Amino acid sequence: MGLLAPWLLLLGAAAAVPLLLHLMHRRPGPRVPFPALRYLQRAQRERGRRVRLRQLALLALRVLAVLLIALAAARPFRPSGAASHAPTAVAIVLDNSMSTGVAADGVRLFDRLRDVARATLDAAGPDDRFWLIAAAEPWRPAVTDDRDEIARALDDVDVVEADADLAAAVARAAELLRAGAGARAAEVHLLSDLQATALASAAEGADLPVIAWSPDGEPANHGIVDVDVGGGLPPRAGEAGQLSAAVHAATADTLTLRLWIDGQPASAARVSGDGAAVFSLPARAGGLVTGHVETEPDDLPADDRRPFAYRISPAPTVRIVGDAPFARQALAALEAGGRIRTGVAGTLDVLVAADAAGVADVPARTALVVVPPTDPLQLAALNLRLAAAGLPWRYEPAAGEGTAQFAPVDGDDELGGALAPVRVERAYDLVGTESAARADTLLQLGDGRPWALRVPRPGGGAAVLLASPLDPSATGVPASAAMVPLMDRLVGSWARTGGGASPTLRPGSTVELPGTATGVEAPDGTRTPVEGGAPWRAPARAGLYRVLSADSLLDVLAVAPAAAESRLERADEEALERALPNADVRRAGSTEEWTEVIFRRRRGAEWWRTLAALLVAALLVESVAAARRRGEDETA
Amino acid sequence: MDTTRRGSRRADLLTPEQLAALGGLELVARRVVEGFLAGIHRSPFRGFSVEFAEHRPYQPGDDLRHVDWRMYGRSDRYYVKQFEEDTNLRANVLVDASGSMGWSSAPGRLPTKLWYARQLAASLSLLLLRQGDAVGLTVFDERVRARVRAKGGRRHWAELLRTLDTAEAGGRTSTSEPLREIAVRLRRRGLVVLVSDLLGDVEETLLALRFLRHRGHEVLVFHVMDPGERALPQLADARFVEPETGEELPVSVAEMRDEYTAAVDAALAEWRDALRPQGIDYVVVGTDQPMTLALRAYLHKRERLG
Repeated sequence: MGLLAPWLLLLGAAAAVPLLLHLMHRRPGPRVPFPALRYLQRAQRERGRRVRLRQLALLALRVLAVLLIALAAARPFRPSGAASHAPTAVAIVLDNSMSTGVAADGVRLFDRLRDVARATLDAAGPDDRFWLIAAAEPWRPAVTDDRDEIARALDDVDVVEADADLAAAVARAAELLRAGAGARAAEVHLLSDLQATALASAAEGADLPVIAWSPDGEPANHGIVDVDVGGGLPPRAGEAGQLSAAVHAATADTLTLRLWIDGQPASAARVSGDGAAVFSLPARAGGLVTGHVETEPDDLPADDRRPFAYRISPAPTVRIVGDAPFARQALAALEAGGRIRTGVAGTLDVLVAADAAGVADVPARTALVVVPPTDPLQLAALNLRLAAAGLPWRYEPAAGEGTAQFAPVDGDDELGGALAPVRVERAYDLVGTESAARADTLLQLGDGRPWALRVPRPGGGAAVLLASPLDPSATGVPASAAMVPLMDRLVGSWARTGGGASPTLRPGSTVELPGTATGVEAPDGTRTPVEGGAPWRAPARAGLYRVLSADSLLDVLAVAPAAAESRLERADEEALERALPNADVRRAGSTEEWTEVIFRRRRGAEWWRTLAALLVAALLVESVAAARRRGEDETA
Repeated sequence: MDTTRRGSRRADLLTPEQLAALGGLELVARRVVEGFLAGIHRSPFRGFSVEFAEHRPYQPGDDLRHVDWRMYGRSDRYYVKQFEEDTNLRANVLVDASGSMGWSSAPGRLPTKLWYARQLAASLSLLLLRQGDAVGLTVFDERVRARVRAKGGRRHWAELLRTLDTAEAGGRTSTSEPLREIAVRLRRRGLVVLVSDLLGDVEETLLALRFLRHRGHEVLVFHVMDPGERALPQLADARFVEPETGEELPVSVAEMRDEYTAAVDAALAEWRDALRPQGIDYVVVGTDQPMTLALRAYLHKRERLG
């Protein structure tokens, strides 16, 4: 039962009036001498119970009449799919993440979700207002309009390869409703497979009714959840490498993985259950390499093929100046592995400067990696050299001392894992000397201070400024497993452009395009103009995107779905409650059930007529009973 | 026959209110009895024996065999001869004078139950004495307050009247103890007439009446009721107070009226059902009813006794 005006139930408090009158009516009356008291006692004993019952019945009738008035005023109704309802503002959160592309009996789950949304619109009234939120595309503006426009907007939404944060989407819906519902009732309709991984966060602010539709059953899925080339360090030109492909499988069946490189089948491997296959990559000359790993298609095809791209570059020529024995040893190890070559001044790709003198007179084509001195007294000389080199940054002793750790690294690759346990005892503050000083933060400490900055150089190229000396007294990096990958990353990609692996992007994530980029070509061949050097959002469709400068290929970006989208386990009630702790959540599993529970403030099938009839009946009975008693009183 | 003494209306048919206007106990009782006897056209008197005592004027109902025709020849008036006789019945009238008997639902308009009981007792006594029975009187509440031994003769009536005249309502109703006491004292079997509102303990009263019957007495019970006891007064709500005990009972009169009447009827029926099997006559008399109803009941009883 619902109530259209629940506040009028307060009228029910008036039920206390007949109670009070009943109590006040019990006046003692005059004292009358009466010797035949025994007959009165006998009458009371034998008939008094009936009289009391009649009095109580009269009282109950009066209380009932008041309660019926209050209830009728509150306008109760029986929720029914066929009934109309009070004007309602509805935010439809439509889950279009990759997992909703799973098919059952030839029908995609997303299509069922969309049909449920259409059922909502079919039951809508002319005064309802709608918002449509595509949960997997949070960057997409919510559509708001009447039901006809929303019906058309539903046709434009489709499954994407992005993941969804359902709690965030519901929180966004709640904000929209709070701002735009006005006097209407507000509801959030969450149409989703309620994937457990999509409910990892919590929406504290969503304190509205949330009506969730999710299908029964849980399909088994397998998919390729990660492809990694060389553990984040792609092979150099002429160097063989490895590619690993991780698989998620809900069953223990054996899957066949096939590796395709540049449009040609390259290799195959078999994997059972959750596991990974490692493919050998043959040595190749420099250039961009693209491909994909695929497995047998299942009901969710989006994760059965995963693209990748990497760049094969010749080993850079590197030289180190200054007193930095650990850095020198790491570079020696990289040279021994063929990752770098030792170069001489004038032909260097990268110069690692471990003292102030090394910063001076570095050619524009040479990338610079600045390692600060251990002795803070030498910072002044280093800052002078930086200024002389046109770098608007300076080192300053840290305001506070204390141990810090590295903040998590985006991509969670091998370097990030190796840096996670490393502590930093001393890190200088890197301060821009100009208001327009630009820099990309490559590594950050847990307290927010930058540890590695990439700074553009006036003549082109870039410089990487480290915040700590590579000395065990300042940081644990030199003595950790992170030292060699860090130096490889510094000299191989961070200090240079186009020198390393192209990262695999998740749909919706952003990446900075090369400064000369003019357009991006999608897998289907459509080109989109872009601004060079500007952030670019990875599209919701997985695939290989070609970054172009006019007609020249600058880079290839692989966009692949999040691994979590391959895990189709449903969230249980507890997880749903954790994600939406303040919402009044109701769930439905069928369209029929759905139409019963949505539009909670139903106006149709109101009960006021029934209540009014009951009220009249109660008043009639009360009048007869009261008149009878009044007649007896008046006779007396 | 002299009919002027009866007045234009028979006193036994007058309402108690009208009777009270006639005068004192003696006059009222006498006129009631005479009116009653005139109504039945037959003398109920018995006990005429061989020893002449006196003459008295003929009264309607007198047996013509007792008319002294010689006196008629001399005086041209009808006289009947009366004789000193042995009484053939000893009657004892018991009058309840407890506090509840002093109540009237409409003081000034309706007499108290005690007034009615006194009139009834006086009239009965006169009737009994006139037919040559011996009459005794006991006035009681929870104990015997006054007692006149049973004797015959017309002069005895005056003593009975004096005793009745001095009876005032007071004390609590307890019929059982006086009845038992009287039963023990009455050695000769006879008629016991109880005039009471029967508001004492029912079981004890029944037990005492059965005891009287067990001792061989004929028992006649006049249950005196004020009309205000048959139906509740016209009030909305009231606290009813029992005068003897002070017990109080709040009642919504309008809602209890029907139930009360039914309870009274049930109680009276219970009295009747309890007494009749014992051979005890039970008559309910209202203080708004003429005396003739009670006297007829007595007469009916007396005729059965022979």
